[in-house]
Amino acid sequence: MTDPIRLSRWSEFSPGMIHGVFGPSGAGKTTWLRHIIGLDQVPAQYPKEVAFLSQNPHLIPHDTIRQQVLWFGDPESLLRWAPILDLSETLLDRYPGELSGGQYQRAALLRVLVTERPILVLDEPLSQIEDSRRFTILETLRTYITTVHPDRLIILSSHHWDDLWLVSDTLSLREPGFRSGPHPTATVYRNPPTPGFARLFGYVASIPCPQGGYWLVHPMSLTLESHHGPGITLQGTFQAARVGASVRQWVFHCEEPHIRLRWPGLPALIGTSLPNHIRLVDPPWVPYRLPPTQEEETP
Amino acid sequence: MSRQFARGFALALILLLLLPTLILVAETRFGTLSVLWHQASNRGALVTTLVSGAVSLGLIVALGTPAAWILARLLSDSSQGWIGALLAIPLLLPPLVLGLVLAFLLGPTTPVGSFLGHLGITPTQSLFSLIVAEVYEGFPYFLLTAWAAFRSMPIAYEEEARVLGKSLIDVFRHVTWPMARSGVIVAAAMAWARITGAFGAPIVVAYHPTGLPVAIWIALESYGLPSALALSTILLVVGLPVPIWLNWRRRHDRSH
Repeated sequence: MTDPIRLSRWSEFSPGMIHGVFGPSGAGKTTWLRHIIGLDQVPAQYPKEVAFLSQNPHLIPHDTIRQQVLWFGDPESLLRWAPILDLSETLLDRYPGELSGGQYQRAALLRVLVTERPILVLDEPLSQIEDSRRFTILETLRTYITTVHPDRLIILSSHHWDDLWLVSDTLSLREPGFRSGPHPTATVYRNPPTPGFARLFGYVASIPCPQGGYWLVHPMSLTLESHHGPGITLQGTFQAARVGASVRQWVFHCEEPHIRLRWPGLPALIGTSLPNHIRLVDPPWVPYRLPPTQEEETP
Repeated sequence: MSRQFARGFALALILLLLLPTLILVAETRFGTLSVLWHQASNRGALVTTLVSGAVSLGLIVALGTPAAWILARLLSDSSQGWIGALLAIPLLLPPLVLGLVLAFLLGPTTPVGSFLGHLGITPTQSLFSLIVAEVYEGFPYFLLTAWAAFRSMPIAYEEEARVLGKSLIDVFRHVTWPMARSGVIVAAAMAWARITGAFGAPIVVAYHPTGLPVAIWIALESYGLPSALALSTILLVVGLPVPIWLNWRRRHDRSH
């Protein structure tokens, strides 16, 4: 952290926070992360304050995990991080070729964490890791950055909204030809800048607003009972649709406006009496219409 | 059926390719070998080939390994394509032509030759010129093979170690070398076979001190084919074990 030019690259990211970089695959997240580090320069820059985890990590094939982790960091760090990443003593003594995809990715993350560098740039670090472990790891990273080392920062990219919206304090959005942020995550969540991001955030449909513009519908903001507070009520009929042998969906036909809402779920929860209205709690307002997906267009 | 066919095909191919070697070994009489061994000139040729070959191989590996790494890692793909095409020229240069050019360059009356003479080095017909000829014959083979070995290794292994704080030297020793070693060993084996068999260039610039290939030529001219064939067996024994041993080592390495 000595060179002021280098430091300026990180000035938009505050310490003590997790900074998410979100966008669909192929949106240029990796290119941008490599650029802010300086890996795309000729010759490449390897700033001393940054530890980088590649989206497609390459562990040293002829070293056991323990050997290479100890090459990059000290034994205390290994002891601290290995249990959090659920890497047992047995796994640590294996060669990278003997690990499954998820174990390989956790080992690669361990190798980065033990460097104890102040800026961690993690490119899709959890893509191969199963949900149960993923949230433990994210939660630990959050505690680490907010409580243990508030002088450090983490930049974390993902194309899974679930990875980012609960743990990241700010979000930078990337889509081909579009970039914004970093902004506070709550702000971004209620203001998806494009229909594409609205879908990625989990919004399933839009409803025209009488004053102009549209309200966005999110399955998590729908209630079946009366709800006191800001919101709008939609009249209509419910249907339980089967999409496959085990996958079912809610389908709600609104009478006015003429619109069909569709989201995955278990219609069994509703019981026998299907309500004729739903309430949309405090829907975000956007200036654009969220176009129906292809399956919604087919009758 | 297909596996049996493949086995038969492989056997026929191996027999065809090994035929000259098999004939050579079958035709070699121990008596002839023993007579040849008691001629000081032949023992001298063997020593000359081994000593000059060891020095040449050492020079080729010491210069060629970093050179191959630099070509593979510090140049763009397009410039590597150009350099690969240019390096094919020395690879394909007929050894006799190389010898003539070296004689032209190193002759005692040329600037290079007289400069070397001032340094006390005999520029031609010396161990020095033999080593120069062997290095020139073996170097392109080593460089192109070692270069391909470094290129075939994804740069990400090195980059990720660098970005986690390891120096270039550390990364080369700990990451690059163990992964590229087997390829570099194959390159060294190829260079050794070229060095010990170097004939075209040495016959022009290093008739003396006489190495084994030139000694074979002299034997053929002076004593006829049986002597030449027997000496060839010795050359075979000198040239082949290193490649075969190195190749075996490489497989041994891989299995770990």
